[in-house]
Amino acid sequence: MMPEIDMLPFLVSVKLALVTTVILLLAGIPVALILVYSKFRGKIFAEILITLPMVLPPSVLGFYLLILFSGKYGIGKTVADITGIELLFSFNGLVAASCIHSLPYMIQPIKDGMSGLNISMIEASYTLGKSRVSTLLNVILPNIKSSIFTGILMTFVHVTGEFGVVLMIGGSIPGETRVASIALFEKVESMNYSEANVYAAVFVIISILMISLLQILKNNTRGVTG
Amino acid sequence: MKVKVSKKLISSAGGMILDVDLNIEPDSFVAVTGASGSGKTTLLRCIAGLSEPDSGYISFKERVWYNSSGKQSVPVRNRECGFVFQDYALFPNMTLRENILYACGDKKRTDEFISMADLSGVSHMYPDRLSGGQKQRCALLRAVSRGPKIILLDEPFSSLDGDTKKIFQSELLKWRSIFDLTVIMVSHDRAEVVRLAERVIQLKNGKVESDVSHKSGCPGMAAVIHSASRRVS
Repeated sequence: MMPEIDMLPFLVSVKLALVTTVILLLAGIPVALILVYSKFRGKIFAEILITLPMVLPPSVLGFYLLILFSGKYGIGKTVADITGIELLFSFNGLVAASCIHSLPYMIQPIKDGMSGLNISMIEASYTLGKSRVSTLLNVILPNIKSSIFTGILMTFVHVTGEFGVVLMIGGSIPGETRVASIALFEKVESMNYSEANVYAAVFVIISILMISLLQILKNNTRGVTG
Repeated sequence: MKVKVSKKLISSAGGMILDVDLNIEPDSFVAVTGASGSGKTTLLRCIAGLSEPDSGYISFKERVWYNSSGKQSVPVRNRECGFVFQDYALFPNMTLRENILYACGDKKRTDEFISMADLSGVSHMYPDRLSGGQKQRCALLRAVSRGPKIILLDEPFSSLDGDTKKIFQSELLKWRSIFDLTVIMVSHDRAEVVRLAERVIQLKNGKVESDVSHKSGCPGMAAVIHSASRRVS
């Protein structure tokens, strides 16, 4: 018999993944543009900093974010003083932490797409009297669509499966910070394997669907980079 | 047009300085030739505003585009230049018609231009479906359809075979006469440039080695090329 499953953690996960993906998409495009097309002092340092969350153990990143987001120091204190929003053990804090943790998953594919673009196309657009914004919207972005889709899906899937950082920053508040990966962990910890099995199966299905969607989008995208 | 530019370049043979001082008559057809790495393309890019000289002065019809002493540099998009890139630089996400429309901005004129260039049959195709000659003609049409005063061509014949080369030359001369264009063409194909241009500037290691004008060009050259292209088509 199918166990009764609390779907709330999945809804929190999807909401977190959607909000994080939208924020990172909007922030990732200008950041990638700067990294690819601008020359500035400290560029290598900026690239290392952006890539760091990809290689750092989530618990290490989670620990530093815990300190940073606490109401006593740094960003956490500033945000709390200005907006009254607490970053620790809140959905807002989860979004902030996920944005930092998933940053390279959005930036890297977009950056690779832009790097692979023929620079002559961008220059041609300028010689046709077009502005930087017009060139970005009509030439750069349409020709790296496949890279953008990759960034969106990688970010979405990564946020959905986040565990270490989420646990340290958000804990496990039902309906607020208890995401599906944490719910799965709790089911395993309480030896409720039948429910854990369903949670895990949903993750597998989501992952297969996302990879299939990525392949379909890549196959149907007209552009020059992938 | 006044072009006086100086720019340090790194070539395969080592460092050199592009240092040229040219006066180019409006509506003339000038070819810049020379060996690879002699600074031809950089000169073209400086005129277009795609590369910035270390110092110098560029003006066209009393409008200053670049002046290092006044720290003045008109952005690429505000210079009245059309640029045909060696690799065509067509936008892969746009059909041939959309490429022209992006430059021209007017649907009716776009269709007229495409018809005049005899490209209507392939106007719905994306660049990856076009032949090399069609890509090159599309790149030329896109550059002129914006209505520039100058057209800059970077090695336009390098990847064209004999017949397509003649068609392209015919079109170049046609658009030149329609729009009263000043043409500056970079090519290492000296035989071709001598046939087409009224003035041939030879660069060597960034300096003008020779500057030869023959005001009338080759008599009847346009007609010869045009008739050849008709035979081909």
